[in-house]
Amino acid sequence: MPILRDRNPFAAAGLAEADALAIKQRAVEFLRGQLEKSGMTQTELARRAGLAPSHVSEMLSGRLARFGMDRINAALAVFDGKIETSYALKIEAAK
Amino acid sequence: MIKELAFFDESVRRELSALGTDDAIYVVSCLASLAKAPASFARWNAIRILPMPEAGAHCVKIEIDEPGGDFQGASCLAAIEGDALVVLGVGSGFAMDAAATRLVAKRYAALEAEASSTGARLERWPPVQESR
Repeated sequence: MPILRDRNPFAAAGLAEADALAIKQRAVEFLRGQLEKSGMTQTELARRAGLAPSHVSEMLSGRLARFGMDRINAALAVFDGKIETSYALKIEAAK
Repeated sequence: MIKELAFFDESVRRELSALGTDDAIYVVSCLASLAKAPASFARWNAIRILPMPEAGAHCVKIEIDEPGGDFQGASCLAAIEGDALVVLGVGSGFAMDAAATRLVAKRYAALEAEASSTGARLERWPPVQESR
């Protein structure tokens, strides 16, 4: 009986784009912690981030597929946080 | 202790996948946060952790609701002492019929046998039972 395990629970679940989901998950958990620590409400976070309260609610509840990095970065910026992404162009030399 | 979330086998992945991608990601996100901090996460979502002794001594059923949404789902979990929190079954809706309960009980027994073969055992989780 092979238990499916991975440090990334989304990879263990066999979900696509597991790395990006794991980053969003960490960001959401960071935001929950900051709200709890600061006593800031979700409505106030939404106002400061320039987001709709319903979007912040979805984000914090864990609806990770419903928002992109730009939206979560807007929320993270309220607490001086940011997800950084890097891009690389790889082109095989023409034969 | 923070638990790593694991899945019983490929059939549990298929049950998860049957929810659809959006809901599957939501369920994994909820369970992963719950595995790390059951007490604090319960405050964020409408999550109920219920004992499920009919499937196994330390089996728990997690009912996941969605604040402001229409998703309802249930997951069954068991914790290996000093190791992972293993998802034994996933489904939509809170109700579980007798066949689904028997299937979870079968997986629980297999997990328990697997754990004992390595000198481990299944343990109560969360350490202090909580429900909402």
